[in-house]
Amino acid sequence: MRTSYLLPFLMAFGCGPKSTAPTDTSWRATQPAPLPPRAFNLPEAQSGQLSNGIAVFVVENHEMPLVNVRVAFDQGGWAEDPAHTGLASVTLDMLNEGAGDYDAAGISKAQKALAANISCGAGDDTSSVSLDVLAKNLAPALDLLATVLLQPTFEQDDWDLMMMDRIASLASARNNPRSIAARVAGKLQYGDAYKGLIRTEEAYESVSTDMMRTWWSTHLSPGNARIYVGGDTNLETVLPLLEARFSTWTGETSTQSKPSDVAANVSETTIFLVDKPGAPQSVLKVFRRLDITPSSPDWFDAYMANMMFGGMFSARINLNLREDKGWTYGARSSIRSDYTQGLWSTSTSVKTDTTADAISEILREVAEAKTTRNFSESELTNAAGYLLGSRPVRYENAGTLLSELQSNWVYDRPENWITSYADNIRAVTLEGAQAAWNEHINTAEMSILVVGDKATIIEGLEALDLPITHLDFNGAAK
Amino acid sequence: MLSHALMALSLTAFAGDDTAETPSISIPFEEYDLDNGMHVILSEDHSVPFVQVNIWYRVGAKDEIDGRSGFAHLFEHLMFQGSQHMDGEYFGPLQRIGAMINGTTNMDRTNYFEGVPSEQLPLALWIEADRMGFLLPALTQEKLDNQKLVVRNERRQSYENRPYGMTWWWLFENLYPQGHPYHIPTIGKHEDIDAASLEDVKAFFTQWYLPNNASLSISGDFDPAEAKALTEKYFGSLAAGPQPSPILDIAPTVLTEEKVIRKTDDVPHHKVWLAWHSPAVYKTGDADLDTLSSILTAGKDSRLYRALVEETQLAQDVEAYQVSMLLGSFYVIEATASEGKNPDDVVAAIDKVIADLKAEGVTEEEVGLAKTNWEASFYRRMRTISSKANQLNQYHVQTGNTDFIATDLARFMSVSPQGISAALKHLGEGRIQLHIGPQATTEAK
Repeated sequence: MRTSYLLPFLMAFGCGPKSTAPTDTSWRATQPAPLPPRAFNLPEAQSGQLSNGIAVFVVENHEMPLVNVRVAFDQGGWAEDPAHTGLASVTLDMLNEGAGDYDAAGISKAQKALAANISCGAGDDTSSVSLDVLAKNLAPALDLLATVLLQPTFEQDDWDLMMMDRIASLASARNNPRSIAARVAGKLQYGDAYKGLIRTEEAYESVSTDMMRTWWSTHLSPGNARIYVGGDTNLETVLPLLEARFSTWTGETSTQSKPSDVAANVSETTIFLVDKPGAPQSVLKVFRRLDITPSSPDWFDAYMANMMFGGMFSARINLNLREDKGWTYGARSSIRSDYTQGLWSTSTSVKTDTTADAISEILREVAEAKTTRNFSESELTNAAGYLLGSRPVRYENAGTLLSELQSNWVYDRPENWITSYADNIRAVTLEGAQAAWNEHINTAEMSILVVGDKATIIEGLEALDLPITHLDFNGAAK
Repeated sequence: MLSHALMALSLTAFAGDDTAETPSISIPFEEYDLDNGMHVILSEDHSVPFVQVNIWYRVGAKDEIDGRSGFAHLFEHLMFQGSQHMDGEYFGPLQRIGAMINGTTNMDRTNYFEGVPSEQLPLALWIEADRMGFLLPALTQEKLDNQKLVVRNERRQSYENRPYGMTWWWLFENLYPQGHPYHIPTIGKHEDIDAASLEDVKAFFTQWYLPNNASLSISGDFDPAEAKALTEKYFGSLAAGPQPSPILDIAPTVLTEEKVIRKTDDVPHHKVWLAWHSPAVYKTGDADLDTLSSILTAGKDSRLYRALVEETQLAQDVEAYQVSMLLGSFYVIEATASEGKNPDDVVAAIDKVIADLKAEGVTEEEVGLAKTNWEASFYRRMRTISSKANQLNQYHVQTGNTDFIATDLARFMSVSPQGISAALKHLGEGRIQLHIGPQATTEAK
C-alpha cells in the first residue's frame, strides 16, 4: 500500500512543522463567503415524431458512451380489472420472458452480447420498456427492444414459473413490517381501487396468458406511448433508428378514463393497528388526503410548508424524533399527488416502547405548527435553499429531465412546469406556506397507521384516547 | 444541453481487430500531499455547477477495540453533531445551501461526503476541516447519548425489524473467529454501542482522525487553483499526529470443513447461504470470482438459475456474489427454497453445478459475455461526480494508485476460463452453510 512508504517521514517531525506554536484558530469561526455563483442552464430536450405519431424526446449527454431509451406508456395498474390485480405488472414482466424467436434465456443472452440491459415493468400509473446500452451497440439493441415490446410470446410455462415467484413474494411482503405498512396505507388512502388494491394469491391465479395478451394489445399502444432517449446520441441519429423499428407499430389508442376518485379521510382521527408480534420497532404512517393537486394555486405553498415540517433531514419532525429524542433512525414527511388528488404523509420507524409518545409528538408538531410555533422565515429560507441549491446536480445525467418530461405528460402538468419550478419555489412566502398548512394539514381527520407489537404498545395507544381500529396485514378489519 | 466543453471521463476504444477490442478508461485528475500528510485529489467535471467533496479516513469497524463493536460507525454519527467553530447540527448550514450530505462506515474505512453548488466549495472545505481538527471541544455527553439511541434504532430498523436482517451477523460471526477484525459486523452490538464513553470518542478521534490518515477527493465544477488554495487554507494548518496503523494484513482465515448453522427467525421462506473465504479485493482471483458470479446467476441463461429455478424449480431465486474487503473477501451463493422443496436438495443442486464447473470449466463464450458487460458497468458506475470522487479516493487509499481505473478494468478484461478454473479452488469443502427458516408463528395477525 502506498500509505506505508508515503507517510512515515512525517513522524520524524512529531506533530508536524506547524504544530509547535500555539495557533489562534478563531478565524475559523467565521463561515466563509461563497465564491461568485456559476451559471446553471437547464439541459434542453430535442423532440421529434415518428410517422405513426409517437413523440420522441432526446436529452444529449456525451460524458459516457452509454444510451438509455425508454418507451413509456400512460397505462399501468390503474387500467387493469380489479379482479385481476397485478395483471399489468405481470404482463410487462412477461415481455422479457419470451419474444420473437427468443425464450427467456435467449433474451438474457442477447442482452449480454450487446452489454444491454432491457427492463420492463408496470407501476400503478405507468408502464415502460427501457434499454441501457453501450452507444456503439444502440442499433442492434433497439432491434432487441422492439422484439421484446412488439412480439412477446406469453408462454404458459414462463407464467407458471413467474406465478410461483409472485405468490412467494406475497408471503415475503407479509413478514416485512414496512411492506405491510405500505400495503395497508394504500388501502386506507385509496379505498378498494387504484393504489388501494391488494395483490392476492387468488388474483394471480386468475390471470391467464390470454389476459396478458389482451392487456398488452389494448394498453401498450403507440397512441399511449412516448419515447425518451438520453445519453451519448442525438436526435438526428436516433430518430431514424426508432422510425425503422417502431413506425409500423399500430393499435387502437386506449381511452380508458384515469382514476380520479379519492377515498374520504376518516371523520375523526383514528389509529389503525396491525399487530406484528415481537417487532422491536413500530412502523408509523400518519397521513391524510388533500383536496389540492399540483395545478392548485396553493400547491407550492403546501409543498414548502411540508418541507419545513419534514421534507428534509434538518426539518422539524426529524430534529425532534431523531436528533432530540433518539427514538428513531429518521422521520420524514411528504406531499405528493398522482392521478387523484394530493396526499400528505409522515413516515418513521420508532423503538417499540416509544410508539405512543412518537404519535403524540407528531400530532403535537402538526398542531403547533398551526398555533404556537408557526413556521419561520429562516425555515423557509433553508427549505428553498435546499431545493434550489441542490437542483443543478439532479440534472447531471439525462434521466432527470426525461423523467420530468414524462411526468408532465402523464399527469397533464402545465408545459412550463420544469422551467418555472425554481420561480415557483422562490415565490412562496411565509404567509402563503403558513396559510396552506393551516388549511390543509391539521390534526383532525388524520389516519395513524401502526405496524408493531400490539401486546407491548396497546396500553400506550389506548391512553392516547383516540379510536383504534384493528386490521390484518391486508388492511381488512379484524 | 449539458456542457460538453470538458469531459470528466475520457475514454478511448483502441480497436485492435474486430474480435479483440480492448476498452480503455481513465479519469483525469491531479493529486498531491499537504505538508501535514493529507492527500488531495482533484478531478474536474464541468457538466453542472456542482462540486463533490469526499473524504476517506483509513479506519473502519475492523480497527475497533474489544468490547466497542459498532464504534467506528457511532463515531461517524458524532461527526455530524458540530465542531468547535461550527457548533450545531451539521446538516443545518449545509442543507440550506443545497448540499447533499452523508457518511458511511464499513469494515475497512469511513467516508464523508457532501455535494454542494460550486460557489459553496469554501463552506464544504471549512466544515470538513473543522470536524477533522476540532471535533472534541464541541463534543458533549448529551450528543453522545442521543446518537447512541439513534444508532441503536438504525440497528433495529436495518437489521432486526426486517426478514433475514440478521443474515450478515450470522455469516460474519461464523466466517471469522472471535478476535478477528471482521468477527462482528459494522453496526455492532447493542451493549457495546451503549457502553461507549466520551473517553472512547476522544481516544478514537485522537488516534485516527488526522490529516495524515485522510484523503480528500474533490470532483466537479471548480477551479483547481482556487481549490488548492482553499484546501491549504482550511486543512494545511491542521496538525499531523502519530501515524496510525490500521490493520492492513492478517493471516487468512481458513475453514477446513463445512460448518452448518440452522436458524429460525421471523421470515417467510427457508433460505440458504453458502459462504467461502476468497481473496482480498484486487488480489489474484478476485476478478475471476466476480466474473464467475455473472456466469452463475446473472440472467436467465446463467448456470445456477437454469439448474435451480428453471429446470427443477427447487428454488425461487438464486444469487452469487462476492463481498470484497481489504483483509480478505468471502464468496456467497444464496437461494430461497421453493414452497415444499427441501433446502438440503437446493444445496445439493448448487454443489452439483459447482462440481460440474470444476470438472469441465466455463466456456469461452460465457467469459466473453461477462467481459462485454464489465466495460459498460464501469461506465455506469462513473456517471456522477459523487461516484467519481469516491472511486478515486477508494483507488488511492486501497491500491496506492489513484489512476487505477484502467488497470481495474483490465484485470476484468483479462479473465479467462483457465483463471476461473483456478479461482474455483476457493469454493472448497471448508465453508459456512447457513439456513434461516420460518418460525411457527411469524406472520402479522
